[in-house]
Formats: sequence, C-alpha cells, structure tokens
Amino acid sequence: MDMLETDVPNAGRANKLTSPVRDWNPGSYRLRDAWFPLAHSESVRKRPVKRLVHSQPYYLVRDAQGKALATEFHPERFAEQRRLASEFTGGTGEYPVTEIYGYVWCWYGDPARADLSLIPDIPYLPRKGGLPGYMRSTTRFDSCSELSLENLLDLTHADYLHTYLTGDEECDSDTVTVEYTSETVTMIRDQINKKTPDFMKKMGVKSERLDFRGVIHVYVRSSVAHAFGRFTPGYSVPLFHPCVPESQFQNRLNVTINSWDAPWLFKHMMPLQGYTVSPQDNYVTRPQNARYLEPTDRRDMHSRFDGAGIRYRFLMQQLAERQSQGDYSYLPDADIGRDLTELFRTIRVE
Amino acid sequence: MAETDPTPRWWALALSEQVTGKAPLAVRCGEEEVVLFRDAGGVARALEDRCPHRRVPLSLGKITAGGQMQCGYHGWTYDGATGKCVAIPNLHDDEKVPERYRAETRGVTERDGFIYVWIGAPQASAAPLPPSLYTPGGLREHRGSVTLPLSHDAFVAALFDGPWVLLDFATSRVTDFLLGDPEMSDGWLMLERGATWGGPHLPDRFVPEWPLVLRVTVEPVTGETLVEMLDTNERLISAAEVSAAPAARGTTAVIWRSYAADYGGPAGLATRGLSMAGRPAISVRRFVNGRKLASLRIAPSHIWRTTLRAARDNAPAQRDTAA
Ligand code: FES
Ligand SMILES: [Fe+2]
Repeated sequence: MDMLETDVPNAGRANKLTSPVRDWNPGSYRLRDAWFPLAHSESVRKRPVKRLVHSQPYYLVRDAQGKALATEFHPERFAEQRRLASEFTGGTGEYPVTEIYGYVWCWYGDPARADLSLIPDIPYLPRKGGLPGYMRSTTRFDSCSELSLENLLDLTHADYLHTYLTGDEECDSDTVTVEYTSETVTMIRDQINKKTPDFMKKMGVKSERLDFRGVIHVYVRSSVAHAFGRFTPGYSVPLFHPCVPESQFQNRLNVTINSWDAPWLFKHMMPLQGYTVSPQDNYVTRPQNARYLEPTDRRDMHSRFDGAGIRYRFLMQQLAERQSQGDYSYLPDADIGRDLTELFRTIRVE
Repeated sequence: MAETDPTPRWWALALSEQVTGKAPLAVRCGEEEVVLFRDAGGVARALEDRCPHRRVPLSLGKITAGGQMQCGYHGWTYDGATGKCVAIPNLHDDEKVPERYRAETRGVTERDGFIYVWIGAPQASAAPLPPSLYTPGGLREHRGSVTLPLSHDAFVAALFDGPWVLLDFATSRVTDFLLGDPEMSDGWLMLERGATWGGPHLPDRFVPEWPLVLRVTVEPVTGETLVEMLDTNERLISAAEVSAAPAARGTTAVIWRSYAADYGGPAGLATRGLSMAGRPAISVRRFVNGRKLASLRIAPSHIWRTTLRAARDNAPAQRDTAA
C-alpha cells in the first residue's frame, strides 16, 4: 500500500498530493520574502548583536531613540562597507525591520516586497511585548530548521520522547487533523481522557485523566511556528516556536511561552521545560542533519502519523520550485496574517 | 570503506563483550555504519545504523525486552535477523506494518571474542570466515579498543615497518632487525623481526643474536593481525589478535585481545605475573607518537602494498568467474 497518498488527510484541496515527495534535502531551500523574528526585543540594545538568516548576516542594534535597526554590516564598519550591500538590503545595507509581539522581525528577501501584513498573528502574546523574562528562552539546534519543524509537526515522537511532559499515547480517542494552505501546515490533535502527564501532576493537576488539544501551526516559508497546547483540566501552554534558519546546520529557537491562565508555579516552570525537551529533540535531529545533505535514491518510509510532515515537505518543495523560477509571490489562499484566536480557541492577550 | 580494497570481506568490528542485549553499539567500517546488538537468544545481530523512517542512527535507540532494535525517535522496531519492521507505536491492532518496511541487515558472526561483520556486498554472497589464527590461552586474557588518529592504511603499514610504534610489550623490546621479507601463505602475509627481553640493553647494532622473535601475520586487506612473541625455538611467550577498521575522518578503530602464554623461566614468569596483575603482555597503545610514526623507514610495507595492488588488479577477473 502506498502510505504516502492514503495518509495525507484533506489531500483533495488546493494542491493535491499526486506524486510521491521527491528527494528531500532539508537545509537547501532558502526561501525568500518573509519576516523572521530574529531576536527577543530585550536582546537588542545599543551594542549590536549578530543574527543570521540562511547565513546572511543581520546586525541588530537600537538607535538613540530606541528604534531597532538591522544592518548588513557591523555599525562600526557600516560606512566603509556599505558599497558591498547585497540585494537583501536593496543595496542600502539596511534591512526592513519592525518590532512586535516582543520580537525584532527582519525581512529576508527583496526589501521592496516587505509587507507588514505578512507578519503572523500571535494572539497569546501582547503586541507591544514586555512579557517577563522567565517566559523567554533561546535554544540552538544542531540541524537545519526543516528538520526541527518536521520534529514539531510529528505526532508520535512526543509520546515517545517527551512522555514526562506530554504523557503517553494511551487515551479514549485520539484524532488528528491536518489542514494546509500554500504557505502553512496545521496539525490539530485531540486526545480525550488521557493519563495526566507526570509534569502536570507535579504542577498540581489533581485528576488522573485529562483531555489534551494541541495545535501546531507552521509557516513554511519563514519556519515560524506556533505550538498551542491545552490541558483540560489544566492550563494552556501557548508556545511561540520560530525556528530561525541560521544555516544548513543550525537553527535558533527564540521561544516565548505565555501560560497566562496558569498559576504562578506553572507559569514559571513551563518555560523551563524547553531545557529538557530541546536536548531530547536535538539528540535525534542533530545526527539526522548530515544524512540529508546529499541527494539519495533511498526514499524515507512513512507511517500514517507522518501526514503533516509529508505535507510540510511537499509545500516546502513547491515553494522552492516556484522561487527557483523567480516567483516569490504569496498565493491568495496564504493569508499569513489571519486571526488565529479561533484556531487556538483562545482569547487575545493584551 | 574500501579505500584499501573493494573486495567484500569479514571485518572484526567489535569485541564480543562490547555487544550486548542491553545497549546497541555503533561501529563503522569506512562509510558503512552498522549497529550491533544481541537478540533475546544472545545471538549477535547487525543492521545498517540508519532507521529507514527518518534516517536516525538506530544505535541511539534501545533494545526491547524481546531483543529487537527500537529506534529512539518514533519507536519503530526492527527484527535483527530479518531487518523487518515489526512494530510502529500507536498503530491500531488491526493495522499491519507493510512487508517492505525493513532496515538493512548485515551479515554477522562471532569467533574468538570478536564480532565479524560482512562488509562490501550483499550478505547472500558472504564467504566463510577465514580460518582462525588466534586461540585465547593463558591465565588471563586482556582486551581493549581505541580509536587512533591515523589512517587504516598507515596503521597496517606501521605493523610491518614499526610495530613498536603501535604496540606495547610488557617485558620485551622489538627491534628493526628484520628476519627476512614478508612471506605470503594462505592469503596472510607473515613477517618476523628480532626482539629482546626488556631492561637495560646494548645498542642494537652491537647485538649479534636476538633471543626473541616477533612475528606478525597480517590479513592484507583488513589488516587483521596475529602478533606472536616467540623464543628462537618458536615457543610462544605471548600472543595478541589486533583488528583495525577505517573509522570516521581518517581515523582507525582498533580492537585487540592478548594473553601471556605458559612459558617458563624467570622472564616468562615475569610476563605472566605482570599479566595476572593487570599489565597485558601485548597491547595496542592508546596514543601514537606521530614523530616516531613519521620517521619509520619504508621497508616490509612495500611488499604488503605490492601484494595488495596485485590482489586488486586480479579482483575484477575473480569476481567475473564467481558470477
Ligand atoms: S526515525 Fe526511526 S522511528 Fe522515526
Ligand atoms: Fe520534540
């Protein structure tokens, strides 16, 4: 049986998955024309910090008025090097930059096409930023962003690798739906009456069983992702999870977790879980990376749990294909800035 | 692998003790990455160290209670004998894993405390193991494994040109005094050189006779080597089996076993006593002195290379006749 075709739900929509995903070379796609949350606002100060998108340098700094700037060269050498400015700054040396949701966002692509409506909605983070520091963290992964996002979109590994946090797979019913547009993949998992994960118990959730709803929403072009979980009874775990593609071998995760409806302890403990979960993920994605560098005839095997991941690979390749032909546009179905309160079943945090 | 020779062969890639039913062991031979483990019956199994699902090294996973290899990422589980994927977690009871879902198996066999893996062509064509030269003996056997920062080629060449750079002898000293050229017999190249008991000694050039003989018997392609310290009556004092495989980034992974034989006299007694106390009669050095290695003169290794080249030139013809 061809698990590939049968196992991608909603395969009849915008772009039917008719042929098997061809050779998958994560790290090689370098998609353009998107906003990247390169740094937590608090990390950008008078002294420049360097960030990368697909190896392209971004120096982030604040001017005297506190406005964030992003330049292609170190500010101290800006005047002399400006003439070397690339197409990514339109020859000016300065990138389009904006600040919202507690992040400094920079444009990677043609500056003329930088459009603020292409910034994703983050309903669980205040637009003006300013959340307490314990909600923020930065993690580095030893793999390209594609492999980290496949990891995020992947359903079964959490039961297996992060049991302490998310619990095992045993429950009364477990439904997964995958939705997508030409630019996003959404995976929604509903688990009814599952065993309360150990972490939730430690955090004071009394009941032995609970329901879990997890929504993973990935913006394929920018590698930005949401991971919105809710335990009932329990709390919401809204995780902003942008995998900044720094190079073919590394991505940087500038995370914010704002469990606004949780008690003090949970609110503080939840963001710390990243420090145990990330190494667990890195343990597998790190050795994966080198094994995807060279093209090969050997296709990966899939199970029906890989629908979202396969969809992600497919969209990535489609975008790459279009971009290689010079088409950087967003299709009408993309709606990058769409209101996500309904998807996450959440209120908007101010 | 096969910078040395593309001919498929059995390579000793692990010590028996290193392969267990508790934790998988990652080994490699050139580009071939292999995971070794034991199934529920204690039989050594070898799979390509690559999960066909998302390419994660299987050696990062664990061995199930049933003695099967479970990948550490999503828990796909493989049977060591057939490579078949026997379980994918979360599947319903009535769902079956497709028959073609398999990890690649590698031929594996065990002898004299070494685990041999068939490298180079499908297992179906595996030849029998070459005859055993090493038989563990003595009162205490020592063993070890080390990864050395020199190429497999350089390692084998040094076994011919300067074994003292690679090997440590507890009670004797090996000289550069050759007792003939390497001789080929049954596919192994044998070379002898003079040696003395350790301790204070005259400079080598004043010594007319050597009380001891170091004999190395080398499989030219894999470099698997029997090392024997003998007296001039060919009575065995100590022996070691050394096996080396090309590892990542030009390094060489070496495994070895050795023992002190039942040899009389004060020197023999000292050798056995030290061995009992924990000092192996022969062992592979944990560090190689680069300066000493670089200054070895090219001597018997020349004959080894000539032999190798001849074997390689004949190899295609041999394969044709086999096919
Ligand atoms: S990578 Fe091995 S089970 Fe998924
Ligand atoms: Fe994970």
